Amino acid sequence: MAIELDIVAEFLEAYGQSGDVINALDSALPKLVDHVGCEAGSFFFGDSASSELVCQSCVGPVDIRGIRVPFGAGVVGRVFESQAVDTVESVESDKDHQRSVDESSGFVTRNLLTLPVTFKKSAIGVIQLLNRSTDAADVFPAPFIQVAKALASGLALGYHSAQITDQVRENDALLRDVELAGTVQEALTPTIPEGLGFAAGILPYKQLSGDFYDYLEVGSKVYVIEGDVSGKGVAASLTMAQAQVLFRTFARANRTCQEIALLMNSELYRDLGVSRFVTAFIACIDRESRVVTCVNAGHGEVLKLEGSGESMHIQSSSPPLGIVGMSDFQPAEDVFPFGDWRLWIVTDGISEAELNGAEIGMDGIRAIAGRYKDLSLQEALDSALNLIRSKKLATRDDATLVIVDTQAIQ
Amino acid sequence: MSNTIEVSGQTAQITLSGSVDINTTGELRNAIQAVPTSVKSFVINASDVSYIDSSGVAVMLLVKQVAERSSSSFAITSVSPMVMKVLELAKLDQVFKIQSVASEGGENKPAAGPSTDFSDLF
Repeated sequence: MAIELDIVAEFLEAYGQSGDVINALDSALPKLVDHVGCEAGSFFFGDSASSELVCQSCVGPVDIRGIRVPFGAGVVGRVFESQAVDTVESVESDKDHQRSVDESSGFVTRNLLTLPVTFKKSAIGVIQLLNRSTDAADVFPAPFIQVAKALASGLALGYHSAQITDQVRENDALLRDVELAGTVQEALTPTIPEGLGFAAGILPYKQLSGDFYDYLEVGSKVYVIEGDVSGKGVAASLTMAQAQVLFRTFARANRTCQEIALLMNSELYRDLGVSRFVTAFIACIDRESRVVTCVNAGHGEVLKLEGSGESMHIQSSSPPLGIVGMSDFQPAEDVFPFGDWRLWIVTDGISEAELNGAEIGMDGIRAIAGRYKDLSLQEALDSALNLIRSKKLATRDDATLVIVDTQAIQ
Repeated sequence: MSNTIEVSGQTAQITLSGSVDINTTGELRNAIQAVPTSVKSFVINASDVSYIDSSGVAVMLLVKQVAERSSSSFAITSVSPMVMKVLELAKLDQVFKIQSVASEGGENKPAAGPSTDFSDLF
């Protein structure tokens, strides 16, 4: 058994050094062939993309690397499908033996031992040993098969390890992409200068957020949007970026909130088309006419808390952006004169956050807004988001908060 | 609790239950898109849903979209009160025609109310 272990150990060592299974097999296969007294040997890899077995390594008088055999064809195809060790003591009597390979290569096959290379019952390929020179009646005795099986197991292990390595490399690349996308997303999230009449903050639940906020100052107006894209990950972040660009484009054109919502819906409805949507609350703080105009497109309720303690909820007047066409999308505007009140615009990562196992809902938002009503705009925002940072409020989603306070305009 | 799709003859029955979110809807989305073209009727039952997020709502929209594309009928036979609340808040009750709202089940997530003591928060 020592020689079998030596061959497998050498194979694994070569693989460990090169990280290349075929390179390792190229050095181990000749030793196996030599040890068992065969004339030639080969390894065929099962390529599921083409449904063919491809010879990747061989030793012997003829180089057959690159030769392809369809699954199920020839002796290698038969073993690949049956996953059973196969001995052919005389190819003359085997109906599956492909004589065409011999004819084209000039090699004369007499006998064959073919073994499946499998990992967890999944077929990777086959090893074939040809033309054992022996006078014994039993051309492929059990100890001989045992050696070949040991190498096949080592090969399977090497292949599996190589697959995992490739997967880790791919995952690393993907993670780097996600990290990069997160950095881009962070760059798209603006810092809000003081004195514009609102504050905003976002706590992504994972690396990429589906929530966003943005603003644009156009003359005497400050346009603000808070949005939540359905779904998560890279796809949602791309939609988010698209929504932000649309918002900026239409806000820059000095459109009303209703027009911005209509135009954004029209574009997103045309482009998304795969049951993705964006809930949005769009507001315009007009410092000249001293009113705040807003539109709620499927964004859930928004709290308006008066200085006196009275409150109201601004309901959604239309479905989210991107779901229905122009004819079915009719968002309504609300208009509030400047005064002693604040708008608390939250995404569901906050309204559905839990305190002691119960969803806080709008009653919780009202309690938080009431508690922090005497703090400055920025302090109120930070204090509210700290409830999530400190895990006093438990959430499973991105948490975004925009607070509008016209008394904070400078 | 799981989200399933069963195709029987010309009808695809989609049953949503438990938590319907991004973690539980991936396979269902693929299955919906792979429904055979012979299906001419799509029916959603969401009466046992305890939680639904935007990904869950997106699945309902996907079913509607697939039905419309194949000129098939589409119906939501029943939704849980939680689902109805989400649809109403987002004005999606304008998009979906809901045939009935199931009575309150025992598995819905508890929600705070006006009498809830939030002093633990501060």
